Order: sequence, then C-alpha cells, then structure tokens
Amino acid sequence: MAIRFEQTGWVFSGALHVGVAVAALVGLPRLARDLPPPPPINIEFVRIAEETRVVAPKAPEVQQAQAVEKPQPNYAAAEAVEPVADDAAPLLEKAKPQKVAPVPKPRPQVSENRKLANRVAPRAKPKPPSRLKIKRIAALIDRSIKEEQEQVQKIEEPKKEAVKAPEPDKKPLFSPGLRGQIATASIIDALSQKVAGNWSLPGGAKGIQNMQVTIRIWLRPDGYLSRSPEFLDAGNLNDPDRAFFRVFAESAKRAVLLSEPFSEVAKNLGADQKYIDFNFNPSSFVGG
Amino acid sequence: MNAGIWVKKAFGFLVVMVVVSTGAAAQLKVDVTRASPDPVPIAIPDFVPVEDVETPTGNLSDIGASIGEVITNNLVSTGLFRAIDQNAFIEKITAAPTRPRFNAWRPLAAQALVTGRLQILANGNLRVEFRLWDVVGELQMEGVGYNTPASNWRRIAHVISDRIYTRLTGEAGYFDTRIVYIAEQGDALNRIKRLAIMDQDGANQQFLTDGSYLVLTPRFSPNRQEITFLSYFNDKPRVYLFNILSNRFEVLGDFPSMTFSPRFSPDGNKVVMSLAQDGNSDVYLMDLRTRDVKRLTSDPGIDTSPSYSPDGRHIVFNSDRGGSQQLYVMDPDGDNVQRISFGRGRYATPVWSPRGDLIAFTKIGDRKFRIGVMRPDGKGERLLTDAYQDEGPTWSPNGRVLMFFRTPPYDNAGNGGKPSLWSVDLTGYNEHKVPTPYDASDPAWSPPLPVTSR
Repeated sequence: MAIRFEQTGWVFSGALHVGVAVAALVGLPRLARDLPPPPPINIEFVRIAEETRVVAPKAPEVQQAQAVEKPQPNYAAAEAVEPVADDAAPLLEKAKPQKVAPVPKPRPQVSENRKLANRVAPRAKPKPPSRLKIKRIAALIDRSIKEEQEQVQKIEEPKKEAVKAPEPDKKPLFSPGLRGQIATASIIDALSQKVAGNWSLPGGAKGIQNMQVTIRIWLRPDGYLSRSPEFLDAGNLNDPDRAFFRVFAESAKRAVLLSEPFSEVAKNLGADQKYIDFNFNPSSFVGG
Repeated sequence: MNAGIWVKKAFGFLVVMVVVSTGAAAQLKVDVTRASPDPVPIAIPDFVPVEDVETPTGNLSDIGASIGEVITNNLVSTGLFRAIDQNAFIEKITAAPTRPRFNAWRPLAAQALVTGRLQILANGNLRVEFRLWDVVGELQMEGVGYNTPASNWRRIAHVISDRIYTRLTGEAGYFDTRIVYIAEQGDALNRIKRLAIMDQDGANQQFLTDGSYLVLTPRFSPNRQEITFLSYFNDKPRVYLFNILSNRFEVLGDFPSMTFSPRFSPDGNKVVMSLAQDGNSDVYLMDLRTRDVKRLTSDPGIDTSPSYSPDGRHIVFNSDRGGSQQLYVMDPDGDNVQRISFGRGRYATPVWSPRGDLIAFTKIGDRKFRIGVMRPDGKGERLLTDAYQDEGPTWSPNGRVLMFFRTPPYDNAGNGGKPSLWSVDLTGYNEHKVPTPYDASDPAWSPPLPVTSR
C-alpha cells in the first residue's frame, strides 16, 4: 500500500512538472506583453574616415609604454603587516581561491540524546569549527606579495629596454607595422574634426558637391607650420572661370591656418613623415 | 606535407601584403568632410575720410559711417557672414593706406577685414576706396576705388558689398539690384495696386504708377533695366514695357482675351506669356522687335506661367493636361513637352534659376502654398518655406536667393490677408521679411545695375 502511495506521488509530480513545462513553452510567448519601445536617445555619430581604420603600428606600444604610469603592485609592501583579524580572512581567500584548500564539512559529534531531540524539533545547524589559522593566512599574504613582485619585475624589464631604444622622433607614431590597434578614435579623426570646425564654407554654390582640394602642410616640432601650406594639383586659382573654386580652396587653406598649432600630432611625426595632407571634400554634407 | 607548404606560402603572402599596405599609409592623410555652419566673422569699421569736410549730402565722416553700415547690413543679410561688434575693435583704422595690424584683428576671430577711405576730389565728386583683407592669411584680397557724386554713396556701398561678396563666396553679388513689386493699399474690397520699385534692401522706394488702373505680374528683363507687366486699359488686358532708366512706358500689345504672366526670354528680345482664347489658355511667344506672336502649345489643358531657361533652350510652364496642375518642360518652339513634377499636390508659377540648375515653384498642397525648388529634370525637390500662403517666387540675379510674397490667413477679428515680401536662401535658411511701406506682392528682381568702369 505504501509502495502504491509512493508511485502515485511520483506520477502526480511528473505530470505536474510536464504540465508546467508545456504551459511555459506554449503559453509564455503569447502571454508576454509587448513592451513599449525605450525612449529615443539623441546620438551624434562621428564618421570615422577609412584611413583611420588602418592597423596601427607596433611602435606605439613602445611609445605608449613610456607614457603609461609605472604599474604599482596592489599591495602595501612598505607597510607593516598588522595582525590579521579572523573576519578579514575570507577576503584573502576570495582573492586567491585556488590556493586555499576547501574546508571539509565537519561532522557533528552528537550524542544519542541529541539525535532523539532532533527528531522532535529541528535545531540550527551546528557551526563547524574554523580551521583557518593566523599563521596560514600570514603565509598566504607572503606568497601573494612575492608573486606580485615577480610580476612587476616582468613588466618593468621590457620598459627598460624601450628607454634604450632610439628617440621618439625616429620611431613615428604612424610608421608601418604589422601589429597595432584599430585607430578609430585616432589622432587622424581628431585632426579632421579640428580643421572641420574652422572650415567656413559658403554653401549652396553651384557645383560645390563636385569640388575637392588637398592642402599639404609641414610642421615644426612645436606644432606650428614650418612653411606656408600648399595646394596639391589645384590648377590655376586665378582663372576667372574658377572663381568659386578659388574661394573654396582659400576657405580650406584658412581652415588649416586657423587650426594651428597641430601640437597633438607634431611630436609623433617621424623623420620620414615630413608633411600632412588635408583633403577637403564637401560632397557628403552639401548633398552631392 | 603539401598542406604545410601551402600554409607557409599563404602566411608569407599575407605578411608581404600587410607590410606593403601599411607602408602605403605611412604619410598622414586627413579627410575633412564637414564644415562649420557658422557664418564667417567679418570686421567692417567705418570708412574714414582723408579730410572730414561738409558735402551737400552730409558730413564726410557720416557718409563713411553710413557706407560701412550699408555694407554690414548687406553682408549680414545673406546669413553667410557675422559682423564683429565695432566696440570690440582693437586697432583704429585710419585713412592712411597702410596694412592693418593683423595681430589686432585675429583675437576677434575675424577672418576678413574691410577698410575704406573717402575723399572729395577737385571736381566735387566723392572718391571711395576700399580694401578687403584676409586676416588669417595676412594678405589683401581686393582693393578698388570708385568716383561718383556724393549723393550716390548708397549705391557705391552696394557695389562694394557686391565686390566683397563675390570675392568671399565666388558668386556674383546681388546687392546693387532693385525689386519691382505691387504695392497694395486699402481694404480688401477696394484695393489700390500700384507698381513700385525699391533697392533690394528696401531703400529708395518709388511708385511707378498712380494706382488708377490695375497692375499685375511685373517681370524684369534679364539684361536690361526694363519691366514688362500686365495692366487693364478700358477693361482689356494690355501688356506694357517700362524702361526704368528713361522712365518711359510702351504698350506691347492689346489682347482681347485674358493674358497672364508675360516673361522675357534670356536675350530680352522676346516675351513668352499665356493667352486665353476660346476658353483655352496656351503659351504664346511675342518677338519684341517684330511684334509677331507665335503659339507654342495647343493642348486642351490650361497652360500658363511659362519661364525660359537661362540658356534659352527650354521653357518650363505649368499645365493641368495630366489631370492636375503640374510642371512641364518643352523646347522653345513648343516641341518635346515632358512632365517633370510628380509629387503630391499641385505646382504653379515655375521660375528657372538664372544659373540654370534649379526651378523654383509654388507648391499647393496640405492646405498651404509653399515655395520649393527642384532640378530641371524634376529630381531633388525641396520645399524652402512652410507658411500658410507663400507664392510668386523670383530669383536674385545670382540664383542664390528667392524673394516671394507671404499672405497670412484671416483671423476671427478679420485681420490678416495682407501680403508682404520675404526672401529666403536657396538652402532654405535665412528667411526674413523685406521692409516695404505698404502691403506688397508679386516681386520681381532686377539684374545688376550697370556700373561704368574706366
């Protein structure tokens, strides 16, 4: 009889679970209400130029390593280690969980009387005695400090080599390389936006969407122009039939001059990078 | 084994390609594909007299200040320039013909500087010299002198404005031009309409007719200071020709039936218009030299508002031959008619831009009359205004600005319905009202006034 009762319970439980699963599978997608769309957020898209998607060179790693602050070990090595309280122990265990052996669950040593009492009324589970000891924790801290010191030494070693490497001017930021990082928000985009902010273009002119002009500039180390900007393949600007192109080209040149100095890029230009070319192309915003 | 060799080869190829491609990008190339929408800051100090003397028109220093003010207003009205406050000027410009101290103008963010000097010549004429400086590039961009009677100072200010505008934008200026329009007075049931003319900035208002007869649709000749307009004489429509410089009227012809919107051909020798005969309106062409009239369209639909392309090779007009009022383009002899407008609503009063790249029109739809432009092939339609009733567009001679008249709706108190002149840049920005002493409608923009050069 008892066996029958157990079987019925199993059947009932199984049927209930299956029912809940079927209800969830079939009903939930239909029961789900369509949530209202989130409120719109104005986002200004910054167009990233094709050129800036190039793979950045390996050299920047060296440059950046010099610029990065010296990594500090995340412990207070110079400070005297105070006696660690028991309640601080779990934090250290959390930091290095793999180093601490799992604490075995203590077996309660209870008498027959206690067993009988437990049958009558449940009691709180007895706390196992702590096996953590201050000596063990101190050893763990010493080991952690040692490991971190070794790690810092490993990081500092290549940095020392980099200091001995050639001067920054000889290793340009934009030199060719195999590795690097994607320079989407790179200095090229910053330059483009800086010059664009100073470019006042008389819009609405006929044929403006088909115009573009390239201006080459040469920089001193302090970011100021070392010579007057030059137009590349701009043709005769004094041609009376190209009056608007002349104005267009002059507005571009004015934008470059107004953007001086280019200190953000001058220090990173290498010996083989003597100039920067700015290509002014209004087709994307005048409806060309 | 073979697979290993192929992998090595492929890896080597990739290495070479990466080295080559990164090497090509060694030099910095920056694309600038956006520009600042802000107007260009420009500094225009008062023009300075060499010697401050009294003239019949006024004190020479006052004339210098007025010239500077007119130039400033002209340039600022375009929306392309921002005048720097004179109180911020660091350097005081003198009449000495020297280079300005550019360092004193750069902190004001000035990109251009206009300096000028005045003097009275021995013959009593006024000499006005101006120089346009590129503050950023530290060079003189323009320098011109004009001799004229002192009373003509305002026109000289417009001529100088045109030179500056042309040099800074690359387009011809439109400040030394005039507007002819219909000045309206009186209540709605007893409206007096007179032909009036003024400078493009609203100065020098004059009436050309006395209001004793109805005047409609004035249009400027594209190359002469002549106006053609429609009037009623003995209750019959009559097309007139009026020469502004000689102040002479001439009757082009009496037309027994209804006549609409006469407009000049680009060479000024012909007038194209629509005539209603036998209950049907069609486009006709009149040769002003021979007075011969030729019919260009013969469709049973209503064909009106013809306008020549600036090269004279096409005529745009509106017609309801397709069921609703739409724009059509045809050859100057009436052949090869093609519909160009296909949008919702109706299209009226098409006007071809003087530079040929756009056609302006009045679009009727959504319970509004709005001014718009489209390319001659019908593409790129844009509405420039969005008021209750804007109509009758006319182009500035450089094809950059449109003027039209706006009529507000009547309110519950019976106010409204009084038209006024407005202008808007073809980009749709810089819409502003043109001052007129009375209600104004149906504007027509003149070509640039003639300037005699030695």
